Amino acid sequence: MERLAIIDLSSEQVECKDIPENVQRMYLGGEGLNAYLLYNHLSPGVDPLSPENVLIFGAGLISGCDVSSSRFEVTSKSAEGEGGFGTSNSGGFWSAELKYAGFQHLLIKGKASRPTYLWIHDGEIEFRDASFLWGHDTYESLELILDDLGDQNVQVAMIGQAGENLVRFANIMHGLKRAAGRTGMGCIMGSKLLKAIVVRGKQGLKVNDPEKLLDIFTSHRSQIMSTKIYPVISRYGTLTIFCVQNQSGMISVKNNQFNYFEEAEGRLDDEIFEEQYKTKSLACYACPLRCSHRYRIRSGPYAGVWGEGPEFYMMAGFGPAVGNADWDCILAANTLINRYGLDVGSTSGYIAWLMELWQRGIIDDKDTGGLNLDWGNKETILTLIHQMAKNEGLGGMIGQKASRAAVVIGKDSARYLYTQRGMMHESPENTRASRATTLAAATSSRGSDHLKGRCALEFYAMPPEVLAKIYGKPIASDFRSWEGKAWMAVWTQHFTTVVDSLGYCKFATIWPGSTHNLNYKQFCETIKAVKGWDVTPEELMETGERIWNLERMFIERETGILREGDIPPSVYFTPQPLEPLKGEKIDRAEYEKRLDEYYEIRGWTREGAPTAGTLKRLKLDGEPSHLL
Amino acid sequence: MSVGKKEYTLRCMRCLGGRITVFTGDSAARCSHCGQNWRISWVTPEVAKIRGRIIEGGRKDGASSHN
Amino acid sequence: MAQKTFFIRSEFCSGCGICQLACSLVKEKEANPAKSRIVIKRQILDGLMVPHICVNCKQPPCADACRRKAIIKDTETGWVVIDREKCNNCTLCFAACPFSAIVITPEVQVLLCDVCGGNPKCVEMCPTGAIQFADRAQGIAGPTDMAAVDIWK
Repeated sequence: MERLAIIDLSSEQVECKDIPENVQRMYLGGEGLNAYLLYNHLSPGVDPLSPENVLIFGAGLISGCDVSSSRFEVTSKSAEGEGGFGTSNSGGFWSAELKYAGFQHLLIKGKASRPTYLWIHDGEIEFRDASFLWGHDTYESLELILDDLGDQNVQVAMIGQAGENLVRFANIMHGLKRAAGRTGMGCIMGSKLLKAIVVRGKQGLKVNDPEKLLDIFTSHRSQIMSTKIYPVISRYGTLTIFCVQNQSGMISVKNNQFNYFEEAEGRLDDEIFEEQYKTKSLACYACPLRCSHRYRIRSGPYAGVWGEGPEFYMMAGFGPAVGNADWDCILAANTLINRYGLDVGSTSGYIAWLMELWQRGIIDDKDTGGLNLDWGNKETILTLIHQMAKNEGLGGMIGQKASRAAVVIGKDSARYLYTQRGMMHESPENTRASRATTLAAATSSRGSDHLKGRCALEFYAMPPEVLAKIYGKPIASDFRSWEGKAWMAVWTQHFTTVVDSLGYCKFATIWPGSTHNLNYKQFCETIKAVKGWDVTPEELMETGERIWNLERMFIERETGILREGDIPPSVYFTPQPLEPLKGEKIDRAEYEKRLDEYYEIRGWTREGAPTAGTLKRLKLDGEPSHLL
Repeated sequence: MSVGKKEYTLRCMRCLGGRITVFTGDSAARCSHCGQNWRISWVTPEVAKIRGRIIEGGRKDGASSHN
Repeated sequence: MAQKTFFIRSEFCSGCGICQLACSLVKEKEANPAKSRIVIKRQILDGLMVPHICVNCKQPPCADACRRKAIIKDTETGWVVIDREKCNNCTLCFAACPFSAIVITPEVQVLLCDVCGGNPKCVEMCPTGAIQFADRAQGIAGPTDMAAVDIWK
């Protein structure tokens, strides 16, 4: 029976509860059950950085049981997103280990009286002194924790100095590069003086039908390994997406001013990374994709720097978005942000913003403390990262203020800051040409979220029959067409939410554009073998819808920002300057019309609020229900 | 030792719809839809990918785009 | 009859642990790498992933160490197995094994890989070929004349 641990850092007390089956069926685990716990346990109107905020960790419902499913969600009232819905997902080993230790969810409240780390092992939870870790980066902390516990097999989720210093976009790191990155979950953790959560589980999991699970495990592994995308992902990881985005004119160059980066040709690509820097391929728990890389910089000013990663987002965010084509700089930055525990999206996005302000003369070296913010200035990029983490100088101000930095800088600076719901726009993917993706990312719960919104199957001129079969309704093949795209957005959002609630990695599913990867049918068979429940794809989709609506209720309650927060940043409504896709933009009037269509599909009002009928249909009309 | 040439179909990244057929060992290919010339590399002997575009006349700064 | 045993290539090991999860599902009917007969030692800061599994030593030190003669080397297959009737989980074999291939469960039960009867599940499931099961008269390294074939062509 899956368990929730309610952990009070103020009193150092723990209360364990079995998670009732009816609640699991309605919300699964991971993001879904986290959202339920947040809505039910957090009083309205709380300051995100106060001890009253709750920080919730959730392993997936089936984490620990199948391939590619060791992912966990961290949920709270957002530090970066101005008090909205905060949630972030991470892979690695931690999720499965938490399940093997006998817990699926941890609800952490209060604030410790001194730096603390939690040591969770086979049903027990201990509060341990973390004073010796405070001030250390995540790599140092990991090493010191392994030594402190005398166990090399523990899994660690931790913050770096960024979280300790309450940087609004501080993340929670796991291992050397897995991260729950967005919405400042590391900031919340730092505000509670919680340095790390360390887990070791040897109890394992007893499942409903172990023989059937073994068959499913075997068949899902083969399914993933036989897709067309597998040889590329297992060799180059997500770096392979860079070429697609750049060549198709869908990448952010210099804070979204341009959409194709010619300097990358022959200088910044996945093959050069493999040839000159990569040392090893590593995998997350029970995953055949092994899309993670270890690297070492062998020469140049950053020689000797080593780390794990980078992902596409890092490559693009610290590449073209800041006008840089130098791999050394990207990898040095990657190591820094992983050690400090800084979110890649916001860190790179704010640097790109500052560089555009510099370009336009809105800030000068008095504002930057002498830093030169010319595009691609490597030393400046790295210096700003150090500043953000340590709360010094210009970078420090950005880290403390996040989107409110536009108020501090004033003048015309806000015009070039692309945010949604206080969250930095996910800049490296400049997808204004693709409709469903734009709509789905812009209407996501935490604001500007490609992990919920990216409709990869929109990009590839798939035959209408294929799209109709997957989505259940007619969808236009052309990414520039709006036909069927509002439905595609809703479908995708439910799909990604179910994936994040079950614990699967999206790269093992159809989400990145691989039609033969895991889909609802596979999720249902896993649930049957693990839990013994007969669940249909339609029921899972409705569960995704329920979770989405509950998140919307939270947003409504805490921020009151509905429709106005569902609009993409202004730059999306301006035409892209370069081929391919020169001139492409979102038409504002058309977008508003399609947003109406989206709300109608969802059973929401024109203002973007779930109607009473919708809440009743989804059994949300009794919330908060306090069933757990 | 000779290797039988395998066929592989790529999607053109410029027009995102055009299919390009390449054969084992090809290092360049052209999309018949939009005319873009691409540098091709091989992930495995059977699976190809686009590495980048071939810029007519090389890059403006004189560096070769044919790496 | 050709005897087969495990050959490991740690360089290819991605540390995924699919082998461990598969083994525990096969042998223990639960999802629990702590009860798997194959162990991946993960040195996380180095990125070194080293699978440990019984390689069926020709002269098994574990069999020598066992005071109850509970460890037997099958002369036909070459496999080293524990006789559960005789074993009392004293763990001396664990200390004797030079490959760290013997597993002690949290309940202090000694486990040794039994090769799944000749078709090891971990080998079937390994996505990289880091664990292989091959004829021990050949190994898997292959002959030297595979290198630089036809270099003068």
